[in-house]
Amino acid sequence: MKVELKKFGTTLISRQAGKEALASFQPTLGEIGASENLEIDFSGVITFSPSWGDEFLVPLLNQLGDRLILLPTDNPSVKVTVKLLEKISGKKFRTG
Amino acid sequence: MHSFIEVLHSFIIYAISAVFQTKLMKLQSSLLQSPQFSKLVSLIVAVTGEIGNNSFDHNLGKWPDVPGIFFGYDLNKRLIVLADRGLGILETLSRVRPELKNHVEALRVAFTEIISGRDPERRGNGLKFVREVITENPMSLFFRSGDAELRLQEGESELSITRAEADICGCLAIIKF
Repeated sequence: MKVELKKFGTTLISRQAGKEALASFQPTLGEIGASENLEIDFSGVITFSPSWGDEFLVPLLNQLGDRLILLPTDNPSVKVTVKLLEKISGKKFRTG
Repeated sequence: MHSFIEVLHSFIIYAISAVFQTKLMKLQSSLLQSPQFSKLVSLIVAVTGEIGNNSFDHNLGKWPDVPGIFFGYDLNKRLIVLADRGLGILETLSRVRPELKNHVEALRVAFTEIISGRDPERRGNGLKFVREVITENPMSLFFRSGDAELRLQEGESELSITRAEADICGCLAIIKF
């Protein structure tokens, strides 16, 4: 399964918004098969901040582990945010 | 005249974070229209968002006097200013780090350690992100809380934090790019 983050907006910058995005994603998350991967597509996202990422990506990483895959992006805010989230969580995101 | 009104409208206190988000997206749109900022847009907006959202996250329901933040920018001067009259870094962090003695120590912890005044909630990464972005890009930051002043710019791995003569209430951030 692939999720395009731009569906949650192109400026992903607050904790509250990240929490809401995760909450709205729960029904879809429930449909993922037990061994199915979830790919995160950052295309179309303009700004991505660690507050939003911490509320959306980190819980997914905790839940899915290696089944969560971040697709490649050149967006500098995504790159710096993901690097920081890895430091904070002590876990590495799998990349596609 | 149009640009004067734009600047004037940007000099407003935003008492609700949703309104700040809206104005932040306006900043983003303005930056996207200028090719000279194309490589930095996402980083400028992310840094501004993290600092601005910190004001709301850490002061919600506890504003000592004027609630909300001042948010102004001038793209010609390549300058963004954020300010609040909230609790400030020392008081916010003292709830989880009561051993902090002064504003200088508090600022150092805020920009270097993953900790939050809302611990054990998962927070405390915004200013580390800000530091990483500023030191890795052609940007600079002046950040003041209480009587502590932090100056950060590209290439500087060590934090420069000094003590000013007087305290201010809340926080002030000046981002240049």
